[in-house]
Parts: sequence; structure tokens; C-alpha cells
Amino acid sequence: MSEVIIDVKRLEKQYMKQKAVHEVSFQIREGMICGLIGPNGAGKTTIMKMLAGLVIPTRGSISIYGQSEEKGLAKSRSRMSFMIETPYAKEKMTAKENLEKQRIQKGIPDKGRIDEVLEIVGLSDTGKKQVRNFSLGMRQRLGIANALLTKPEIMVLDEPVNGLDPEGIVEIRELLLKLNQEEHITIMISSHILSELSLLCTDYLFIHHGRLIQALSAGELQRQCKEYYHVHTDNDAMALAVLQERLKLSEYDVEEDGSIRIYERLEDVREISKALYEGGVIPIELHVNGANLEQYYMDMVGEQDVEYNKSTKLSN
Amino acid sequence: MWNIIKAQNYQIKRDNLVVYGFLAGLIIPFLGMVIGADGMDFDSMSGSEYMAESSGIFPIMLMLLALVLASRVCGWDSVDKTINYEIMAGHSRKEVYFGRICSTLMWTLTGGLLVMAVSLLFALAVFGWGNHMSLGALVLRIVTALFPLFRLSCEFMLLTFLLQNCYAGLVLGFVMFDVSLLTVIIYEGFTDRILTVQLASSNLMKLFNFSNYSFEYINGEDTVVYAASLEPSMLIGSIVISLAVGVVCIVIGYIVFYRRDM
Repeated sequence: MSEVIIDVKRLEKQYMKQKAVHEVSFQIREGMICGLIGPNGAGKTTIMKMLAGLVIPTRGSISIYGQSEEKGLAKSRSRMSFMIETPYAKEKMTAKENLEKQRIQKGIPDKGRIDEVLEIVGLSDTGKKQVRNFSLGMRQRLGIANALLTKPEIMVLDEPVNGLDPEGIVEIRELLLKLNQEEHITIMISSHILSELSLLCTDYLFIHHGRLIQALSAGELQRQCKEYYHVHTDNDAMALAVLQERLKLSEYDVEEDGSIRIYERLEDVREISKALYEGGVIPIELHVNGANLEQYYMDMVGEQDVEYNKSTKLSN
Repeated sequence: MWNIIKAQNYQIKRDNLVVYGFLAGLIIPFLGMVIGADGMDFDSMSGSEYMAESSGIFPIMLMLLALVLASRVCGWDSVDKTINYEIMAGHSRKEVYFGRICSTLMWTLTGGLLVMAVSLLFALAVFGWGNHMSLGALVLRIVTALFPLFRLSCEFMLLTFLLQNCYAGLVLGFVMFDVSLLTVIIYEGFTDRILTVQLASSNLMKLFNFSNYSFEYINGEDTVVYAASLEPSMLIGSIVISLAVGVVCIVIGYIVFYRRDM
């Protein structure tokens, strides 16, 4: 298993009477592209800001590359790069001047790195145009260029494709994939465009009302979201035996309640019905299920909202 | 921290407000002299007389210089949140804070010295020095003025760090200085006491106040001689009080900045 780079334990942030983050714990391993998913106000940016040292946690611990004390954390952050809330941009400077200032501030000796990163993000021909005349998409690209300046080992990006056109979104996605696969950069990314995250991420953290409600890998998510035939009968054990014998089933799961999920033969479910009937099993529930990331997320958030409203009412 | 100072220097040199402020600081004393020289005979004027008449504008120029630099260096990056990227880059809060403090003080004290020195050199070059005031005494006053300038700069930096906004810092700093000037005028008007080193504004005003003079017979003519020698209490008070207040402002600013959520 790859090395744990970021280890967060029971992280909390309290603002006056409101808790923005409740006991969040997670690990980011080397090589991951971890998607942080949640609605506005869920606590995603607050968590990222605590990782970046911009917000002081109320409770809990953060360890980056094994360092958890302030001095060590600051040193570890020099191996990372962040783009949180607004991308880095001094309005009255050009793209090159902005990056030059950052190059000086970060102590990067190689001046040629500026032209390299501008080329990567497609801003090398902006010349003397000041950032205040940039579009939102161009500002996002500049922010990513700034994040790439130090050749980081980890990138933490808060909505990096915000404001980009579809072509730009694809370019950034391909860039991030390339950085992860070729440069072995670990990435933590938040976005509202869930379809984009589903094309990018190896792992997901679902945040809602400041709580981590689920952490799962892309494989586990795919399994959860994959279309399947739900079978529940009067005798599920017998139903499974019948289906295995008659249809030679291989892609299936048995739920905790004994019902069966079948991931194959979805194009003709009559075969399944027929096999059950001939085997003497009476079906109670037979239907197709499945979701993409968005549906999965909306279902999960909906359940969480019900739970949150219940607990809020109780505490009131 | 040195990288932060260098980065701030890079930014300051491209900041039009600072550049124009410096130029204004160099030009305005001359303009003020020309506009305010009603009835003065430029043909017979000496450099010492010129400095005695024109240096009263120095407190305002130094205040503006300190205000503009403190608000720009300590507040501009908070407005657009680019200061956050220094912390995210792995600099400690101590480095980010003191890097800005050092950069501001460096530019303020150098700029202040330049503004005063250019006026002095102009006076020397154009008019010659003359007998109206001791050159050494004036130079000592100019160097001493760097201490209340340091204090003023620290006060403005603290204000800007508290407000986290360069524009609010500019406006409130300007108001703060005007209020302190009014306080000096009203206090001295209603009491028999004189404020000297108690406020940075009164300190600077007193250092460049040449209202005390006497007549002396020099080279066959009656000459106005301005009392420019600095009293030891004024000298020591300027240095000690300014440094003490300045350090307190820096410490308070750090305590506020260190634990603040950005």
C-alpha cells in the first residue's frame, strides 16, 4: 500500500456557535487523486484551508509527511501547492509578473520555470495584458500555473475548473491526469462538476454539514453505482442456488438482508424471472437499480439531510 | 523571510501609488515652498533660511509616506488574498508578518531620509547654507525624525493588520493622524503644556518647528538665527518613546496575525 502523505484525525473547526467541521478523519496516500465532494457550505474549503495552515483547527490533528508540529508542517507545505478560494492574481500585474513575484517569494532559482508553466496552462501569449483584463478561465489557469511553479509533490485544488469552458475543463482534466500519472503528483480536488470528478478521481470523500459521511475508492463507488438487477424472493438462498445452476451466474453480490444483486444479463431479465419460476422460487421484488456519481451523491445527501434535520430538531 | 522581503520589494517597485507617492514626496516640499513663499526674497535667501521655512511640511510628507507604504505592503495582499499564498507556500506566519514589517520599514525610513535629504541638498546647492541655522543641528533633527517615523509606520502597520484592508488602512490612518494633529493643537491651545514626544505627530512637528529664533550680528548685519539645537530630553525622548511604542505595535500586530483565520 502506498505511503500516507496526509493524515487527518478528528479535525474540528468551531466558529462562535457554529461547527463548520465535525471530527473529520481521512488519509491521503501517495498517488491518489482524491475528490472532495459536498454542497456549498459543507466544509470542503474549511478543511482545505486547515491543511494549508490558513485556518487554525479547534481540535484534532493534521500530519503531512509525518510532521504535525507547526514548524514541520510549514516545511511540509513547501512540498505542496494549493489553489484555494481565489486563484493567485495581482490585478495590475501581467501573468509573467505575477509568477515572477511568486518565484521570488518561493525561492525558485530557475527563471525559465515561469515560461514552462505558462506554456503548460496556455497563457504564454498574454504578453503585457494585466490580470484585471483576464477572463475567469484565464485567472483559473494562472492559479494552476502558480500551483505548478514549485513542481509540487501534492496539489490541493479548490474548484480548479470553475469558470472554464468545456474545452478548458477537458484540458485541465488531462493535465491533472498527466501530472498524476507521469509526474506522480498526488492531487486533492474539490469540484461541483461531479461528472468531471468521476473521470478523474481514484478516491472520494463525501462531506455534508461539516461531516465526512463517506470515504470510498473509485472502484467501490463504481460498484455502488453500477446498474444491477435487484432480486428478492421468498427464499433468497434457494433463489441464488437456482440462478447459479441454471444461468451460471458469476457477477453478483448478496446483500446483508439476503437479497441478490445481479450485474449481468441486464439486457434480458426475462431469463432470470423464468429461471426463478422454473426453480420453484416466488419473486417478491424484481427491478433494475443503479446510479451515476451525481445520483449516488444526491441520494446520499438527501438521506443525510433527513438525518441532520432530525438531529437538529432533537437538539432544539 | 528574506524571500518575502524581496517579493514585496518587487511588488512595491511596480505599485503606481507608491511610485507617485515617492515622487510627490520629493516635489511637494518645493511646491509648498514656492506657493507659501509670500514676500520672501529668493535672491538673498540662504539654504538655512529655506530649510527653516520649508521643513514644516516634512511631518505631513513623512506621514503620507509611512501611511501609503504601510497600507500597501501590509494590507493590499489581504484584499485580494494573495497573502494566503505565502502561508500556503510553507512560510511560517512569523516570516510572513515580519517580512512585511521589515520591507515596510526599509522603504519608509529610506524614503523618509531621501525626501528630507533631497530638500536639504537642494537648499545647499541652490542657495548655499548661510548663517541662519547650524547645518549639523538640522542634520541631527533629520536623523532623529527617523525614530518617530519608525513609530508612525508601526502604528499604521498595526492599524492595517487589524483591518486587513489597505484602503481602510489608508483612510483610517489618515484620519488617525489628523485627529492626533488636532489633539496637539487643541491641547496646547487650552493648556499651558506642550506636547513633544507623546505622539508621533507632535514629535515630528516639534522636530521641524523653528519658531524660536534670535537676532545676531553676523558679518556686519542683523541676522535671524533659528534655534536648531536639539535638547537632550527631546533627543532621548524621541528615540526611546518611538522605539518602545513601535515595538509594542509590532508585537500586538503579530499576536493578532498569528492566530487569525485567513
